[in-house]
This record gives sequence, C-alpha cells and structure tokens, in this order.
Amino acid sequence: MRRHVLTWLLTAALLACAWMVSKAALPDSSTIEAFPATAQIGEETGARNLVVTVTDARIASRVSDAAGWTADGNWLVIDLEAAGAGEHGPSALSLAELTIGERTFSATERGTTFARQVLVTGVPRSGSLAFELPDDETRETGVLRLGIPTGARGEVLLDGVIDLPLDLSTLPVSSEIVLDENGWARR
Amino acid sequence: MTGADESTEGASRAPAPASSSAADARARVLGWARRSIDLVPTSWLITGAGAVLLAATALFGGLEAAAVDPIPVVAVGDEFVGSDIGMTVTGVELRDDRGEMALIPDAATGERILVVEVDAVNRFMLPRSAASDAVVSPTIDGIGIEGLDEKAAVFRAGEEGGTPILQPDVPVSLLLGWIVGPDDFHDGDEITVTLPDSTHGVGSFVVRGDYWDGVRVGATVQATIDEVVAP
Repeated sequence: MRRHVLTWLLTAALLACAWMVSKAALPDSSTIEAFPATAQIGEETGARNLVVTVTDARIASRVSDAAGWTADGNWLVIDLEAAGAGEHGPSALSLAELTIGERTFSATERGTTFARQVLVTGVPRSGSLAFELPDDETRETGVLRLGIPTGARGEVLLDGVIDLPLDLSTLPVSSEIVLDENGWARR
Repeated sequence: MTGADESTEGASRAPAPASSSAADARARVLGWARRSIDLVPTSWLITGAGAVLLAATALFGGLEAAAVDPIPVVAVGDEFVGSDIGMTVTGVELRDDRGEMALIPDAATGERILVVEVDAVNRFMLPRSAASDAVVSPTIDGIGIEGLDEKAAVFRAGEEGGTPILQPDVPVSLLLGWIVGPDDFHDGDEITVTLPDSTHGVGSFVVRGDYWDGVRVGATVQATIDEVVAP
C-alpha cells in the first residue's frame, strides 16, 4: 500500500516539476533576441552599432514636413540624434517601432522623416520620426525601440537595440508639429 | 484491488440465503446475456456495425459532395475582413489623370487607369505592408478584378509615396491602379472585384514570424465603373 502511495506521489511531483519547467522555459526565439539598452529622453545611449539621443517626444493631431506634406491623425513625434558606432557597416536606422500594449507600430513611411535614415559612424544626424496611432489609442505607456537591422526581415537579431520607455499620457500635446528636417546634429 | 474483487465474488457465490436473492438475479441476467451474445456470430456483429456506419453516413448525405460555403458577395461600401485586414471597396473609376499614383499609362495608345478605391484597416497587432512579393498576395494587392491577371499597384489616396504600410487599427484610404487598354473597360460596366482571405500562421522551427497563406477569394464585390473625364 505504501509503495502505491509513494508511486502516485512521485508521479504527481514529477508532473508538477515538468509543468513548472515548461512555464519557466524561455520562448524558442530567446536564443536570438536583441540586447536592449534602456534610454531616457535627453540622454545619450549606445548600443553596439548605434548611438542615439532622443531629444523630444510630443503628440500632435497634425504633422507636416519641410517639403509641404501634411497629414491629420493621432501622431507621436520623436526628435532624435543618431550616429553609427564601432566599425562601419549596414547603418540605416530601419528599425523604429513603438509597442503599446499588444500593438506595435512602425515609424511612418509617409512624408520625409528620419525613418530608414542612413547613419554615419561617429557623426550624429538629427531628424524626427513620426508614428501614426489609432484615435482610440489610450494614452498609456509604450516602448520605443530603435536599431539597425541586419536580418532579412528587418529585425535586429543578436545585436544591440535602444529601448526608450514612454508614458504617452505625460507627453505635451500640440495641434500641429513641423517635423525637423533631416540634417547634421548641431551641438 | 484484486483482493477486494475476490472477496466480493466469493460473497456472491456463497450460499448465504439472506442477501443472495439480488445477487442471484444479477448472475442469472449476466449469464443469459453472455449466452445470447455467444449465439450471434462475430461476422454478423461486424456486418451490423458496417451497416450502422453506412446508415449514419447516408444520414449526413453519403457520398454526395459536401456543400461548399458560397463566396459572400459584399456591397460597395460594406466592409469585409480577410487576412486580418478590413477592406471596404468604396468605388471603381476609370481615369485618364494618374493624380499622385506612380502609374504612367501610354497616352499615345490610349491607355487609361482603372482605379479601385479601398478603405483599409489593419486588424492585426503588427504593421503590415499593403503589397506582398507573393504572386498570390494575401494583403491589399491581392484585391483583384475578374478578367485582369496582373496585380494592382497600391497607393495612398491623394498622396505620393511608395507602398503604404498599414499600422494596426489606423484606417487608410488606398487606391489600387491598373493600366488598361482603351477598350478594355467602359463607363457603366459591371465588374467583379475579388477580396482576398487567407489563414494566419506563426512560424516555428525554420520559419520565423507571422505569415498568411492559403490565399483564396474571400468575398466578391459587384461594382459599376465610373468614368472620370479629364477636364
């Protein structure tokens, strides 16, 4: 009788262990994920191949660029300075994503913005990124992620990225923002 | 367990007069059942089971081809959600003026642009391109016109630029353009616009990320061509 009880107890314990291991195990993709460096507005942050200073983050219901393009909507505008770092290599700032809750938004391809800007090693360029968000986007917290993708799908794998946590509810709101022209950072 | 079984069997066989009547009846019924089952040959049982199976399939239509759900027909101005993208065809126009679209019809041969106006909303949680490299596209450029084999070029309405990226839950007005011959389509023609649908999959092991495959026609729209004459 005692042996039966022991067998069942051992089975239950092993099943519980297996369940915990399956819960604690990281997802398959974790072996190739990016290494985030957390940034703050106004502070210079570096990853392996990228140095970024986010200078401002604002919300507007209308954006326009120097070339005369304008668009209405719910826009988050990020002003930043960015330079390549380390050895010269692929250097377009093609990964610019904002994750709010479950949804991920990419920097808009509309108008003339800093999206896909080619960076120069050691010499910062400056400009604005714009994110078009849904109207119902509750002004929660989000994370802006910047990186230079080397993978095929525009992802950064096994390389540094810069994460900037943003509380959208505290950002200044204006009616219209003129996006910074892409150029050299003045410092 | 086995010890317990033996003890109950022993009890039922024991000629204990007080509690035996119920047990006796049970044993008699069981014995009768066993004997009657033994009377039925096994092949009869198999044949019977086969007959039941056939009768059940016949009940659900037998070898008749299963009914395929008809492809829904959506009206102009109504939304259809396929491939996790909400698509609303708002109009079909035949234009001479290309506007902001990067499509250059050959005016010398009288080529024109057939434009399908679509309002689209990305109902997925990641940004998605309005065009795909695939021959049969699951996304916006998978919207087709019956009788035209080519894929459309996709643009934002009233704006220059390349392939639009659909941000989650941000509505976009798009134009799909085809360069057509002078006599291919006319004002007032009824055409059938096909909207794509597909199955979302998440890559594992070799494939990474989200993908949409099994592209099929999810809905059709009957639309009338409006001719827009260049001023």
